[in-house]
Amino acid sequence: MAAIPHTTPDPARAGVAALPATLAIEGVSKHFGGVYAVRDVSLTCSEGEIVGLIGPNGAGKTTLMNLISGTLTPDQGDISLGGVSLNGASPADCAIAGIARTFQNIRVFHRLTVRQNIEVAYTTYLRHRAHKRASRSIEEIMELIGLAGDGDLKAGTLPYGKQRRVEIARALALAPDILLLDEPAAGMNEAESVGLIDSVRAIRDQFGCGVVVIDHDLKFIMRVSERINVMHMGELIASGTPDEVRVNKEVIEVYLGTKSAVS
Amino acid sequence: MDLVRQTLLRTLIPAAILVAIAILVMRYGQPYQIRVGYVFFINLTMVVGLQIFMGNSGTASFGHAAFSGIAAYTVAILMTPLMLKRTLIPDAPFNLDQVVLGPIPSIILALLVTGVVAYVVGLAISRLKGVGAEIGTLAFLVIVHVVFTNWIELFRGPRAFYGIPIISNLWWGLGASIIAVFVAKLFRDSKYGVQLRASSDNMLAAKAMGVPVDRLRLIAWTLSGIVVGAGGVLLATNLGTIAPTSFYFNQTFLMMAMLLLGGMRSVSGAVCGTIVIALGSEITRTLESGPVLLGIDFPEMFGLTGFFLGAVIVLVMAFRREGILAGEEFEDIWDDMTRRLRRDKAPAAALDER
Repeated sequence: MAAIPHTTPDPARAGVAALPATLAIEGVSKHFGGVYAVRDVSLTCSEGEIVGLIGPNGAGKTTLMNLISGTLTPDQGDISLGGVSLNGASPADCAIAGIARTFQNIRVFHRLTVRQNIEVAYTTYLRHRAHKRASRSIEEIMELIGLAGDGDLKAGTLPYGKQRRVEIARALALAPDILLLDEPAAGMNEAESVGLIDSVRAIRDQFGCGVVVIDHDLKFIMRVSERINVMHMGELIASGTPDEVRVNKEVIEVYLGTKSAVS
Repeated sequence: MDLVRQTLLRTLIPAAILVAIAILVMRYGQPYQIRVGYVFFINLTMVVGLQIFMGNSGTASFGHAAFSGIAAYTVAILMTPLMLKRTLIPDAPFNLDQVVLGPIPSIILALLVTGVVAYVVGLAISRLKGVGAEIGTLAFLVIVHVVFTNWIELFRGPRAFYGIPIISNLWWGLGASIIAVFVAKLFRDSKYGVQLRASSDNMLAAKAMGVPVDRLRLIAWTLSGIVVGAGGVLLATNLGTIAPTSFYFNQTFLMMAMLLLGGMRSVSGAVCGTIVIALGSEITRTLESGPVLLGIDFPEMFGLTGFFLGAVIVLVMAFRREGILAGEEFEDIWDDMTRRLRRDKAPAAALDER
């Protein structure tokens, strides 16, 4: 992803940022049949924060993501944004409330142009969120996310990397309080995922939203996040700053295997 | 407002094609060709109407022929002179046998009634997705047909309802189909049309972007029903005679073949498919009667037209799911072609400079 220049936050946004909205997950559980995919997980993410969620395959990361975005409903526990409960909210309700997401397996609107893809979310923004939060125009978003000049192309014809950007641009057009990135580094090489780190930080700076990044790429998560939550078998086994997590014994045991992997 | 102006511009090409067809038919056509031309415009209005729902939601509807029936019967019941009505439907409920309205109020009421029925039925249909929704539309077609054939006091049952004042002609058909094209394009390019198309590309992602999928499907379904209803009004007011069979499976499959052949995801596809099928049906209809062409004596082949429509649907589904135009509009194809030409020229120019 193209590096986005760091600039000072928009003054229009600075006013809003005085009262940061916090995504709060408290004691959330979800089971399928007799198996707990997520058990008693609590975590928070505030506007302007980059929070990592990491765990091996099957740890329950994507289930948690689906719970936060309303695709699944928790069996127990509470999810709220800025003090407003999102229990039982549909995916559309969550989007309107201020939670935008991307998908692990890319889900662009392939028959629509790039601009229309973003417009879909922007329409929701204009209807439901414009009074809450300032947004950038569709053209500005395309420029910032590295899609300038691609506006009239069909999203389905774009290469993989650009489709990922379309998903992020689309999510940002909602002017979300919290952006959920589901495995954004999947399929990227080392250099690309280093570029992605800058991009995620730039998105946070430019759009002022909180970012929850899910991935199993350890290096990537360690470098991009300010706080990290580690999941294993549906449970949260550690949370803290990258440095704290790096030396956590349980994390090293169940996930890292050896210490050298973290360097 | 900007969108309306743009859509007007984008309607110019199809409108020009349709005007040319109408002028050609009116100038050089015998009464038979003029009737065929008129039926073409009726079908076009209905197919473009059907496109509004099917093309944007991605869900097939087998029920839209019922809307043309509802509108046609409403116009028939409201407009037919009292004298005739006393013999046709003497026991009509709600004293409808004693009411007669002028053409304009009748047509407006017919579209209104169709819209209300479409909205109410749509409340159920718009909640269903995929195959469930499609079977729902089929059930709706059957229900409406059963009501037409069994509510004898109001609809005369399976017998024809005749004596409807003949007030429309080919120009009406032309006007209605151009308006239909404009409305369909306006909806397709509107914010809500784009959101609905997004939901047919990827339902999960659309919901995650806050798209009110059910509500948009309901709006498209209702609008689409009203436009198809306009086609029914044209039919009733031109033929003067209607029967429940005019609005059943034959009409459903004709509309379906036209829309699928051209490509249901664009309005241009609807126009294109209707033109090709209309021409094709005329050819097969001629062949059906076993004519002598170029010295060859063809045998009589009854049912060839139906066979042709079925074959078109099967072939399109098998070999070109997205139809002739693959879901593109004429203007977009034109833009693409000019863009590609320019791109081809650009490197050549760079070479020349060296």
